[in-house]
Amino acid sequence: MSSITHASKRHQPQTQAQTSNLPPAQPTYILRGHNAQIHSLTFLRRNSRLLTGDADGWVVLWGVASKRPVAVWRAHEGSILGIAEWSKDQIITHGRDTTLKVWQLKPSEEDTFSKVLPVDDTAHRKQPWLLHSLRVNTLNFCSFSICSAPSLIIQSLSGYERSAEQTESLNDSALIAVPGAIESNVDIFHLPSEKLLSIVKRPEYGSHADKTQIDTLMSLHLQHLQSTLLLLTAHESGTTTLHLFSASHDWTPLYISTPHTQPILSLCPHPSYSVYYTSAADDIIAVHSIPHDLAHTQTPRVLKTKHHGQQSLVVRSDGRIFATAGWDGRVRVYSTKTLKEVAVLKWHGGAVGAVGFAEILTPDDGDGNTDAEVAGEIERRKPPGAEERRERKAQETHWLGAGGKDGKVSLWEIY
Amino acid sequence: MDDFLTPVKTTPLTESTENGLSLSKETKLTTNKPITSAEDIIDVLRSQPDGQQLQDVLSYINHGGARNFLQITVPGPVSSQLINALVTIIIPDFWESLGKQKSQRLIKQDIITCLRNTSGIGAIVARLKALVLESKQKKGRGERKSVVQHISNLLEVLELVLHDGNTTYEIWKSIYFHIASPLQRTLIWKEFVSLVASGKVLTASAQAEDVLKESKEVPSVNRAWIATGSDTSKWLGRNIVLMLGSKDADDDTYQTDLSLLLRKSMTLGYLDSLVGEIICSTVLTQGKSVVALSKLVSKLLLHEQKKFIVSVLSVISGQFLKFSNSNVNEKEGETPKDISGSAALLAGLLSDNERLLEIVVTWTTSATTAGLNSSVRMLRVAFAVLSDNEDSLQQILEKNLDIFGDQLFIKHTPILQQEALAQRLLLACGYVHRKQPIALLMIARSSTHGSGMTNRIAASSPRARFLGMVVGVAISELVDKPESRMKFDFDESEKTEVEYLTDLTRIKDNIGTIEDLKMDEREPQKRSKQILTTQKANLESVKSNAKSSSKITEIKVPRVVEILDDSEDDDLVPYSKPDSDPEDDTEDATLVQRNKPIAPVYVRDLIAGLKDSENYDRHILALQTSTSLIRRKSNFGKEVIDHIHDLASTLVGLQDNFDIEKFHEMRQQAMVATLLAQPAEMGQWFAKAFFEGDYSLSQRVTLLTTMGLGARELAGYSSDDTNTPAVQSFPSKKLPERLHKIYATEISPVESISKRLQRSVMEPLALDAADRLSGPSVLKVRTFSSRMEVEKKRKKVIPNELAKIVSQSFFFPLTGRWWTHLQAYGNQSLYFSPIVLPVYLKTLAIILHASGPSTHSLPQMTSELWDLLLSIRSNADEPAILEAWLFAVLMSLEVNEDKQRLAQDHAKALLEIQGWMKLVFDRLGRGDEDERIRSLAAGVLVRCGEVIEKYQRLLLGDLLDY
Repeated sequence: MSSITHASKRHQPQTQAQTSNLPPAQPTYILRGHNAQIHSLTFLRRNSRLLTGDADGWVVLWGVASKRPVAVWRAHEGSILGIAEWSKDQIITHGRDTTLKVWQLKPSEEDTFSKVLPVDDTAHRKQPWLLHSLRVNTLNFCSFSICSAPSLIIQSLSGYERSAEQTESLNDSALIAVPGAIESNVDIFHLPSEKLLSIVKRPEYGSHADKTQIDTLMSLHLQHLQSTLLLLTAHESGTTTLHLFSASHDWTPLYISTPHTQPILSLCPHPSYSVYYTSAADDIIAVHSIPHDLAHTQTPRVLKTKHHGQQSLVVRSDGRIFATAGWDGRVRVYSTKTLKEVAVLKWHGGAVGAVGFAEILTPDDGDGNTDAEVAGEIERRKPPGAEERRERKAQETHWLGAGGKDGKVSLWEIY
Repeated sequence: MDDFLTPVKTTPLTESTENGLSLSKETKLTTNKPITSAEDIIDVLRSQPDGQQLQDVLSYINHGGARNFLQITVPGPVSSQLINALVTIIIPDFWESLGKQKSQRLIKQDIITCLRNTSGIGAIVARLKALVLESKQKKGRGERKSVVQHISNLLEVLELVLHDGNTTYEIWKSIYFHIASPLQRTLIWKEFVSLVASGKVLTASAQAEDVLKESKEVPSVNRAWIATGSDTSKWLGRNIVLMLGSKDADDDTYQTDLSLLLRKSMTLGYLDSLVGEIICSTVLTQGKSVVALSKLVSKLLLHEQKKFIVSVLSVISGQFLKFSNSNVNEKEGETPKDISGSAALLAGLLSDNERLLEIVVTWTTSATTAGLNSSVRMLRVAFAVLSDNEDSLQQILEKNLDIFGDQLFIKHTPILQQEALAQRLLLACGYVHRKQPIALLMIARSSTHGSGMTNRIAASSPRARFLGMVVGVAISELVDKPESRMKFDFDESEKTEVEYLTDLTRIKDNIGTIEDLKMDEREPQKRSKQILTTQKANLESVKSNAKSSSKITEIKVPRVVEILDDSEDDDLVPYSKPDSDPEDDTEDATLVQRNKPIAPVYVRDLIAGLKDSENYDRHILALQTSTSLIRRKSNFGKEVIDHIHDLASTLVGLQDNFDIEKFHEMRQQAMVATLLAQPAEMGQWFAKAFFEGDYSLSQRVTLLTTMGLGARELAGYSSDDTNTPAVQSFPSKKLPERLHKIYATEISPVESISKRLQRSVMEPLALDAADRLSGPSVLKVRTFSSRMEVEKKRKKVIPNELAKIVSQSFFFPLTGRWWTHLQAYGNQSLYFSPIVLPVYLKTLAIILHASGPSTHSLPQMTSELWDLLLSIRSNADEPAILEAWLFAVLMSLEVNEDKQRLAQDHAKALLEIQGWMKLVFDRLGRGDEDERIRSLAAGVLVRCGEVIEKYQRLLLGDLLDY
């Protein structure tokens, strides 16, 4: 079983200056390797690696330049809900086996891992070093969210009674938000201490009967902004809320809106944190502006796409475009500025479950960055020349990866 | 064939975009099965493709690489094979099942594109004719139905193929482009013209429609326009005008070809519809094609020209001119728009062509036609056109004056015509006077005018006299000096009319522009304009879709937010959409169904669908289409025959997993259809399944019902059964008999049929008995008009298909196995249960009845049945069984019309039955429940008695031997 194919090289989008429309986009590569449907997909290490997770709990780390698997292991017994990169060489996976695991996978160790894809063999493999394993609620399909946070915030979050030496251990650490034990609440854990710092309750909204009911969490996002923490949640009822935490105020719901009639499937903020987007099982994409206090809330803008079931909404790091994975097997790319549908990517036969963008690298942001060190490390190990050029080119390409129900990952070069 | 294609190949049509698309299609296809020649395409079409394959192949032919080796518009062995395959295989298979979905609409569109050429239309017409013939020959119901279905499909296809107003031009263009030899071009064009314009399509489709109407199987057929002469003519008219407007219009061969089309179209017999459409459409094209049209008309033969122009005149008067004879509301010296516009149209058409002008002149002078069915306004149009032509004006005047003064004319012509003539005359006078006052003076002084006036004044009819006086005054006013003018004293009441008529001489109309006509369009033009503007409307609707706003529900202030108000420009150049990007058609997310199953078109798909008990949509679709598909296919190909056992066992074993409405009914109908597909074989199969299959009681009852219904349909009784509800309730769920009658409204088909049969037998008996009770028949008043009654009772002759096969395939398999089972299991087996046995007996009786009295094997069947019945006498304690038992006996007595043979052959059984019957009759109580059985028993007794009484001697002899 081949792991890569040059899907249709000759159909690579040719830019035609005279036409107003580009020809329909075609995938550049197809990565075949997973047995089960792809649930999560992300580019790591300055786009040199692609990590995909499927419904059987397998994760595959792909070399973006080589299009070949670099490390393959089974991270969870249940299906993967979410994956993310943390610091230099740590990978976080969230599975339905009620655990959230933090793995240490150094680039230098990559050679020691199995490269046999799950589609060829599902025997047990060597797993990377497991740093943490958190017991979390995974009854709903909501993935986790992680952000780094200064110790000040963490202190105030965990309460004032903590002593100084404990505070010390909280330095250089991360906050992880996951769905709580009560499904409409959000639990916030701290790494590396693995402590539950805070529980954010669902604010009361809706009709009287609904207020006490559980409104299952579908998607969330946690971000540290200056001296505050921002928590975005999306619920089964189609409601989305925005909570703000600062040292002076406890968690305050700033904004509540119900633009969707069906469960929200995904949310993603714009990199500038001026707005955030939600997509749902209905045919609506809503754009919510992020207020900074109660007085400045605005009604969401609504885009009726006429395509039901768009999930895994993700905004590219440069904030120009965002993409959704559709149940109709098409990835739709929209302009963030005009909300116009600028591309429809059709290759997958079944539904598409996950979509991800490669980071847009600016030439000068390499220095002093931890990511750049990683990349530099990779480069140093590789012999210079053609290989290096290939690597660099792969990193600079504006990839869009989409993982489908068929277990295949398509790579596209978009904008 | 390749050399024909060179001109197309050299045109730089293929943009890189298109190239990319077709390439991707090609790769897609090659993964399936490489198509490199036309034979491959035909192979695919013949090898029962599924929807996707079909779509691929069709788009390959139409848009893809197939152009390289196949030109479907060029007649040839390959393309005709292809077209044939489409018409005879693909359309019967697929058309029915193709719905409104986008992909399916695309398939339809592709099929139609393939057939939109001379050979395609020819193939459809030929096929239609063949099917119509076939439908007249075939007697079998099922066969007929499938034929009718095919006809209706083909008719729809034909309609769509021709539908467009641009069709003929497209066909002409494709002929012109793809065929090099002029001779061949002409031949193909002629062939096409003779198809569409000389009525071949029309007759074929009209015949087809007749067949559809006769057979009521296909419900509510809309009248197809291709089967209506006037509509076809209108369509031709539209096409001709569109062809006139094309850029090829100056080409000589093009004009010849077009004139051929026009001439043929004129022979179709709906001249006014044709010309009306041509004129209206011409007006709509801003009159650009008027010149081309006049050129075209000048190419026609003389008599055709005349017909055409006369028709144009009547169209103008009918469609463009206001219907009013008065010119009161119009300002002096100003020509109304409708007249000036019509005049412009007519002038443009005639365009100083002498011969055409001549036709108009003749029209204006002929006594009968002009001005009668058209108003003065039409005359005004004609005169406006002729106003420059002094000679003809003078000619018209002279001729009309001649007629006007003719004694015979005055005496015998209807006044209406005389009035019209007077109007013409006065108009002509006005025009001549303005051009050549001398000429009018000459005429006024001529002897013709003088004697004419004399004749008029001498006329006996006051009205004729009046007209003469008015004309005289009017002419005199024009030519004479004021003091020597003719003067008559008109009544006060006549004053206005005199004024109106004399005013006619002062009318001077100008030729306007055709634009004037568009100011007030009437109904017919609006319609054709709609056709032209649909495209625009579509565009607009697309725009409005894009701007659709959405209402959002929001906690604070609900308000509608309009999006896409893109004031800011985006530097992102959008990618084109992929080849298919359907939008969800429903608002409700829970109803979105992406994998919509399409109705099965092959029996194997049907079986798969029926077996698929997981997928609700597919399952129910298969079940719903099963009956029609089986019936349609039963005489088409070998599909049903190949799969019949599999199909039957699937149907019998079908479980109602989804609680489907009308499940039993649909299954029952499908089973009957299966039985009828191969009655000889399947009758045996169902009988075998009843006895030997591992089925539940309910399934066994269904099997019996199938045989009973099937037998009746075969025998031609089915029309009686259609109104019976085929709901099959689960037998063991029945209430006790008495309560069931009260509460259960639905009855099984077997039950209802037996009820009806029973009534038909019992009623005459009861009437007879009542008759006899009331006294000797001699004393009664007899009505002599009994002939009608006798006629009514005479049986309709229905070809009884059942009679041929009943014994071997239906009856004996059922009875024969009974005996073997009785031997094996004794009378405790489940067949003796009061649920199955009555149905079994009744089914036997129904089959016997359906096979009719003249069936060859009736004696054997009767004896078999009676043996069986007598053997189960001891089990007939249950009222239901007893009732069925009695019914069976009664039916067999009824069917055996030859009572003598009955007495001879079955004497012993007959006596035995009679004896037991008496016992039963006495034993029966007087209860409400037993009443029905008692009456049945009485019926049997009476029938037996009749036979025995009549042939007592015979029986006695038989018994003496005994």
